[in-house]
Amino acid sequence: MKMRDYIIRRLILFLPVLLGVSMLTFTLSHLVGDPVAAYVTSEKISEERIQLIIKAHGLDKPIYIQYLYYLRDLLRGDWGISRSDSNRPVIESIRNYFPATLELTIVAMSLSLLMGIPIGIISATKKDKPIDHVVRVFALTGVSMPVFWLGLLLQYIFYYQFKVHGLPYLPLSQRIDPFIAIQHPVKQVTGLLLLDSLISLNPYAFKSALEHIIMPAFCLSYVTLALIARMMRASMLEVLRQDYIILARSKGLPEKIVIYKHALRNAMIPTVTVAGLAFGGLLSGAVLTETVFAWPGVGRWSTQAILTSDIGGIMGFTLLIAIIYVLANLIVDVLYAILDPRIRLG
Amino acid sequence: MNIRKNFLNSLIKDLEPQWREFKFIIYLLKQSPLVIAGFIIISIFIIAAIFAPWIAPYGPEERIWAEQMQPPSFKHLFGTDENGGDIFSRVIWGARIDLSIALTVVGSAAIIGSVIGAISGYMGGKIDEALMRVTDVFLAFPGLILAMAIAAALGRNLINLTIALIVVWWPSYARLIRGVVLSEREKLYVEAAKAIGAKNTRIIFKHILPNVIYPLLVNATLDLGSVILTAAGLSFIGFGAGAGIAEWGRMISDGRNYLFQAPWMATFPGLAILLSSLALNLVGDGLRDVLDPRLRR
Repeated sequence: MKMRDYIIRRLILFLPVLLGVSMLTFTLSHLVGDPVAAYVTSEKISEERIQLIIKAHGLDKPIYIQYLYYLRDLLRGDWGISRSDSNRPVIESIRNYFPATLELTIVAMSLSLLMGIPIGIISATKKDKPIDHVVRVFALTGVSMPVFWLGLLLQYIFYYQFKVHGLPYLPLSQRIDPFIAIQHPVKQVTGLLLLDSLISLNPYAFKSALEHIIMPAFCLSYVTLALIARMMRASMLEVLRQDYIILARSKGLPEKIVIYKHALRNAMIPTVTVAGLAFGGLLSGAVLTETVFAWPGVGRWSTQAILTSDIGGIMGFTLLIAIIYVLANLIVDVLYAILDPRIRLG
Repeated sequence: MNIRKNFLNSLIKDLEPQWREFKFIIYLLKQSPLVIAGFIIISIFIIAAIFAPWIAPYGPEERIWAEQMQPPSFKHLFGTDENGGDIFSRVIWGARIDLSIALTVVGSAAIIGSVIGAISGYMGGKIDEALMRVTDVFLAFPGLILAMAIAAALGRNLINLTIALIVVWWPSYARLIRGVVLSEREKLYVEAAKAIGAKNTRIIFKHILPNVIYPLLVNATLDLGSVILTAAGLSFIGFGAGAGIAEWGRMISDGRNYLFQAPWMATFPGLAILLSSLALNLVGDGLRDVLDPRLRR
């Protein structure tokens, strides 16, 4: 099968899943009780306005017609109203909060790849040495670590204890120091603070943003980092057992070349898959991490929405995450096919 | 009498290979210190949960108003919280809540998922296609987030949290069981059972399903750990346990407000989550290595 056909087939499979996802959020917003709630603001509104809203979204029609209206609204970008976010349209809230989450997850993902892969390689090449045991225990605690608790622990040590002992400490929460944000305002281009402050040559804001992202990004990356290190170790060990590695070694190639040139490429394949699948965990983790670090992203917005029963916000968030997650899986599949010709040929 | 004795003897003889296999598995498990450590830790938690009324020095919601926010001491091993509750006792009582949520969720999800997966895999065709598309939709969400949405729709309390987690967890079991059933379906013994006129339900439940016990066991053990983590996480952000309930996630969320004055309030429940989940992962990993002949090098 050609690469293009493979991608097209995967894209076609992608649509029914999205339909199913929208059906699920539709059902859930009806389970809550009054479906009108997702479209009205928290202020008192007149009976006439409510009737107008019911008409506009087809809420007086049979349930399957209502679903079609719902789909139409979603495609038009009318995702309802988020009451918890001062009655803004959901789409606007997403536009406001999503860049912060994106920035956090990108940094966390990069951290886990940049640290996880070398850690896995070292562990595999030094199998059963003390360093390998340390890595294995670390990888095991990774999958069992309550992220929110780790966040509190980091705050206690790197903010509170460091501050008490007069050491240079990391900021407790938020994305940027509010004073710096006022004195050296960052012009919004991409919404990613690190990138924006770099583009606008604003070193003060960049430094502050960098200091603020270290703790939450590390906290969020921990689980993925452990997963990637573990996978990298396992697949590296598997590859190092292969005949062509023995051949390369017996030819007298330096160990560095054997590992980084011959073994690494093959060992990367399973790691890419794990990294892609771990993306879902990263999104879940973002909800908890953002709550702990008061990070103004979609995760924190969603918890606010839940605590105030803001159904528009909750369903909008759920839908957004599902779309991203499905897309991420799609990308992993395609990447996998590029890396491993056996998949698309088989 | 004689017939019965004969029957018993032949039964024992028939079960001989299984018994040997079982003994071999236990032998292999004993080889790994990590599995033993995990097993001991999780046993301690289970014992603490069952015998909480006898082990815990104080009740789950008992308060000693004169002893608020005391650091750990001999009187209060893990210190006390802002209401004078003994953290050590509350962690023990919390094991009851968190472990029973995990058991309920994984047990129900495994049963529901197995039945649906078995039907799907055995029947094939349109039923299979439809059921698998349904699982696709559920698996299109990260677990915690779907559980959040469902729990938000149902209302925030522990029972709804448990229901939400069951809804999130069954599809992975359906997938797992379907896979095994698909490969078993084509085997000769199923054909033989069909040939002697066995009904479909009998073939599924009596002949095929016993084959899935081991993969199911491995998955369930590992999932118990993730359910504990997810449930505690949801509880932390305000689902599930209400104020004052001795549930680990809730205790951390309460402790967060006093993180710098009384760090022990959040530390010990967090350690309980970490340790119980770690222990289950150790045992689950060990089981997988031992039960999968390919990994038994």
